[in-house]
Amino acid sequence: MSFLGKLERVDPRAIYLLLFLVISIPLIRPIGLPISMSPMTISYYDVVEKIKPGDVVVISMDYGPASMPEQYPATKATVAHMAAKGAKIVGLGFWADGVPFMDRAFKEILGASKDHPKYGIDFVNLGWVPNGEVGMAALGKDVQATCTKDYYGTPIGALPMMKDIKSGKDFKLLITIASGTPGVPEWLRQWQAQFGLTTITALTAVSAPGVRVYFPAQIAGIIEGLAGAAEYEVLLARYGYKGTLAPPMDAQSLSHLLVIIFIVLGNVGFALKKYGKGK
Amino acid sequence: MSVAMRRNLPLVITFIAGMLVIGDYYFKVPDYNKLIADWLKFVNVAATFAVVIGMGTLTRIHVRRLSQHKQGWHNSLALLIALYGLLITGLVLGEGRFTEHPTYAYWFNNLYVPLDSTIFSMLAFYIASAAYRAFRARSAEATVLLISAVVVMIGRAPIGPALWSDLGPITSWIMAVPNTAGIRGITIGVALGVLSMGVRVLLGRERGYLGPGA
Amino acid sequence: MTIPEILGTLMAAAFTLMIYSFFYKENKAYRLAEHIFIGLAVAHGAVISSKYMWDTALTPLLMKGETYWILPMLVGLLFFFFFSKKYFWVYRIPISTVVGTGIGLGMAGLMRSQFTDQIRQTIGLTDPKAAWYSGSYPINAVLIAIGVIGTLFFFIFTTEQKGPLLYASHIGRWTMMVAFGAAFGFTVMARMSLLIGRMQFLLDYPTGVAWYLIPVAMLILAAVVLMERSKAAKKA
Repeated sequence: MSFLGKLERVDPRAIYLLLFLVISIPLIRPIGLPISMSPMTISYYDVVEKIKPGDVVVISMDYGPASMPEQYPATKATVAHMAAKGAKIVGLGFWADGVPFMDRAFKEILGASKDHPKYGIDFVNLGWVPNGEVGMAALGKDVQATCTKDYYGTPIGALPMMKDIKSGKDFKLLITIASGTPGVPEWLRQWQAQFGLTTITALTAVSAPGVRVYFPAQIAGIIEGLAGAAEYEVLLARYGYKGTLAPPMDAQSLSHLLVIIFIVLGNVGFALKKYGKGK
Repeated sequence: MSVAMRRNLPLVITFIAGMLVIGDYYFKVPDYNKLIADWLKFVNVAATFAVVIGMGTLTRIHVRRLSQHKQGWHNSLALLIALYGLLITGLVLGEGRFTEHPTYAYWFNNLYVPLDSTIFSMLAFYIASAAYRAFRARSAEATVLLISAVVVMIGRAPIGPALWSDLGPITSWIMAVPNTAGIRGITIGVALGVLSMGVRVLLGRERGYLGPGA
Repeated sequence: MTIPEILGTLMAAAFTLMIYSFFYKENKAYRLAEHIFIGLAVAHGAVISSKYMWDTALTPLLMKGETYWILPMLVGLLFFFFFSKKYFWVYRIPISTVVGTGIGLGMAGLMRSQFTDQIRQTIGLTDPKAAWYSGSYPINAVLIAIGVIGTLFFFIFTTEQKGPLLYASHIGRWTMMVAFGAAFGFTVMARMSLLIGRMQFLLDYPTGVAWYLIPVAMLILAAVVLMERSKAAKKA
C-alpha cells in the first residue's frame, strides 16, 4: 500500500490512542503554559466585582453531569467570588441533574451547605424548578409560590434571606451556568427582558459562539468553557482562590494542536490524491 | 364527546393558553397578571406529571423484552433494576429527603454522574477521528471555515498566545465581528421562524405536538 | 478515604472504563453500562419531579388545606391516558395546556430579546476608545452590520438571487463560513474539555484510587486481543 493509501486508512483506534496519550501526559506532567486573558472573562469578573455586600444574586445551575467537567469549575469559582464580595446567593437550577452540583459547590467552597451557620442568611439552595421557560416565568413572577421549599425540604418562609425576595425584580444579578435548553435565551426572554436584570453566564464552549450575539447589551459577561474558567481562576487569585485548571489547560492546548495536525494531515492527503489524479 | 369536539378541544386550549400568556407580557393589569402568575404555577405542577410517560414507556418496552427473553434481555433487567432501585432509594428509603438523602447522593455521584460525563466525553474521540477523516477543504468556503476553526482553536488555548501574542486579539476579533454578524443574522431569522411557527401552532394549523392521529 | 468512598470511586472508574471499551469495539460491557445509565437518568427525573410535586402541591394540599392544588394535579394525571388506545385523546388536554403556555411565553419574549434588541445592537452607537478587536469599535460595528444584512439576504428565497441581492447573499455566506468555523473551533474545545475532565478523574494520582483500574483494564484488553487473534488463527 502506498504512503497516501496508508495515510487515508489509519485505524481510528490509533487516533483514539494518540488523543488519550496527548491528554493524559500533561495531566501527569504539567507543562505550565501561561493562561492568557479573554475580554469575555474580564467582563464577567468586572460585573461580579461591582456587587456590593448584601446584594442578592441568583445562580442557576442549567447544566448536567455531561458538561460538569467544563462548568463545575466555573460554578465553584463564582460561588467563591460571590462569597468574597459578601453577596447573598440564591442557588437553584432548571436542570434536574445539575441541581446537586449547587449543594456540592456550597460544601466545597463554603465548608457546608444546609448545616452551615449562615445557611438561610447568606445563601440558600432552592433546588430544581421544573418546566424550563414556563418555570422561569413562574419564578420571575412569584419566587415564593414557585419554590415553596428549598433543596433540603425547609419551607421558604423559614429562610430569613428569602423574606424580601418576592419576584425577579428583587435580585441584583442573574448568573446562569448553562449548557443547553433551558438556558441563556430562555433567561433573557423571561427575566432579562422583563426585569432589566444584569445577566452574566458561564457557558459550555459549544454554546459560546451563539451567545456572543447578546453581548454586551443583554449579557454583560461570558465565561467560555474550561478556558474561560481557568482565566477566571487566575483573576480570583487576588482573593486567595487556588485554581486547579493549569494542567487541564495544558492538555487542552495539546489536544487542539493534535486536532489541527489531523486536519492538516487529512487535507494534505486529500490534496495529494486530488492533484495526483489530475496529473 | 363527539369526534369534532375531541379533535378541536386541545386546539382551543392551546390557543387560549398561548394568548393568555402573550397578553400578560404586554398588558400590565394587576388582577390579570396575578391570574397568569397562578396559571403558570398550575401549569408547572401539571407538566411535572409528564415524566410518567418516559417511565411507563421504558418499563413497558424492557419488561416485554425481558419476558420474551429477546436478545440483550439481561441489559433490560439491568436497566429496570437501576431505574426502580434508584426510584425506591429516592422515594421510599429517602426519609422524605428525596435527592438530598446521603444514600441517594452516593449512587447519584458514583454511578449516574460518571456515566453521563463519560458518555458525552466520547464525543472528543469522534471529533478527533472526524477531523482526520472527514474535514476536507473541498471548496473556498470550506477552506475559510477550516482556517477560522484553526485560528480559534489555537487562539483560545494557552499555547496560541504563548506562541504569538497577537493570536488572542485576532481570535477575539473573529468572535466579535464575523461570528457575531453571522450568528446574529441567523438569530433574527430564527426569531421570525419561531414566531411564524408559533402562530401556526396557536391557530391549530400545526398539530404535530398532539401525537399520532391529530 | 473511607471504604464506601473507595468503593464508590472504583465503581465510577469501572463504569467509565466499560463505556470507553466501546472504542476497541462494541461489546456487552458497554451495552450494560449504557442501559444502567438510561435507567438511572429516568429514575432521577422521576424522583426530583416527585419532590417538586410534594413541596409545591401535596404539602399545601394536605397540610394547609389549599384544595385548589387538586386542579393542576388532576390535569397532570391526564398524562396517563398516553397509554390508553381508546382514550388517547384525553392525553392531548394536558399536552395542549403545556405547549400553548410554552409557545406563548416563547413568542412574547423572543420578539424583544432575539429580534428588536438584536437590531438595536447592530445599529447601536460605537465606541472609538474600545479595543480594535471589540465589536463596538467603529469599523467593526460597520462590518458587523454588513455581515448581519448579508446573512439575512442569504436566506431570502422568495425571489431569484441576482444582481445586488446576489452580492449581499455572498457576503452573508462568507460571514457564516467564518462563524461556523469559529463554532467548530469552540465545539472541539468543549468536547476536549469533557474528555480532560474524565481523564483527570481516572489519573488522579496519588490521592485518588481510580487509576488502579487502568492497568486492570489494559490487562483485560490485552487478553481480549490475544483471544481474538488466536480464534482468527484457528479459523485460518
